[in-house]
Amino acid sequence: MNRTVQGILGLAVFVVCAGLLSGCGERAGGYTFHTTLVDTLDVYVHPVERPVLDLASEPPPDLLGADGLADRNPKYGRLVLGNLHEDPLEFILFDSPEEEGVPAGLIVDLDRDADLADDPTYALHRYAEGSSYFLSDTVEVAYGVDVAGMLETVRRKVYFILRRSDSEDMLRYSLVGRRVGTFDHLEGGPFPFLLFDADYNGYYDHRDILVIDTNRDGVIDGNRNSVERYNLSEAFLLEDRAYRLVGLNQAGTRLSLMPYDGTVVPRVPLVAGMPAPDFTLPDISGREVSLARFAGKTVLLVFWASW
Amino acid sequence: MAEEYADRDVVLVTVSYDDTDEDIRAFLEANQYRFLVVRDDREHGVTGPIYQVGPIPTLLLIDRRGRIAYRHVGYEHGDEQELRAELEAALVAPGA
Repeated sequence: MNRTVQGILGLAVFVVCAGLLSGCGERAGGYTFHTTLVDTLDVYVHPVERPVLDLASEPPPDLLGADGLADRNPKYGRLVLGNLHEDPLEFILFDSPEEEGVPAGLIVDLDRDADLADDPTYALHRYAEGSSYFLSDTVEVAYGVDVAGMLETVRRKVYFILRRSDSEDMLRYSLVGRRVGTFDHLEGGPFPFLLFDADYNGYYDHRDILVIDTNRDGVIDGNRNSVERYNLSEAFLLEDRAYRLVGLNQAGTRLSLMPYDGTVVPRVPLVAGMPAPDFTLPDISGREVSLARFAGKTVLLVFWASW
Repeated sequence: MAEEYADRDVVLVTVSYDDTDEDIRAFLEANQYRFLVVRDDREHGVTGPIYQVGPIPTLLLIDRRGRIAYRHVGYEHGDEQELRAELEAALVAPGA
């Protein structure tokens, strides 16, 4: 992705934030909560299955400071975190000297001086026997984020996930830290919650995920099919009262809720024996189809996609 | 399998998360499938939250009384046997 595209995306994010989240800042009259960073992941969240880093085949020659790397199938990539479009973090992935085709290490230009000779090397580990996935050691990176015009430096632990196939390498990354907090002082609370940077872009916005322990059973269930997992743009119920997120800073350290007057359908875990919720959607010819139309018949309802 | 059960008042309703109707049509034609498909949005649609759709494919069996009888996530070779058993159970269950 080039700089122009990133700039446009950044602008788009800002505009959407301004519309949806009241400038991603705070609004008077709501409830404001603070979060803390957690390094251990105690909820299970599905990773996004898509490449987030382009691996160019040819690293810039002056970056290849470390000895012998040129012979070890080096793959060069750049990682952009945050929303300031500062210089990307450059890194080189290289194979084991003993086993051809087996990725072994990663060097990240942590000090952003375009020289890898003075940077640490992180190991890559095969995810499981025979697997084509490799996980890196955790890498602590620093980057700036613009939060309502103020510069905040964020330090995050990141690990890389490499999938190597015959045709190409795919690399994505995951922030180790999730932010957790508690909605306290709310009716029926406190409700522990977790912010999850679902698109791994390094900052929090309306496209990310909020997981709330709505049933207060001590488990913040971030599974994709969980009733406790919400898009940050949707309203939710806590003990029969509806709330909506009205403020969130991009570092994810602070968020604000407001009571919500609209209708929110309660999330009820699907269990055998409960009535199947009705819905109406257009078929591929544009005709509206309701599930209710098949009342009295046995229905196989399948959710799928051709991709 | 749906065709096999069609004369026993079993209908197949599928919700696709494809981006366009064209993608769905192409898939149906390529495989010569002829089942009902409605299209929904994966992230911001109506079925995701109410049916808590996680990984796809996800299958639900709804009995004649409109109640959820069985739910299965994912597909592996051999899953049909389990579905067949659940389907038979739903078909002989009292009610309707």
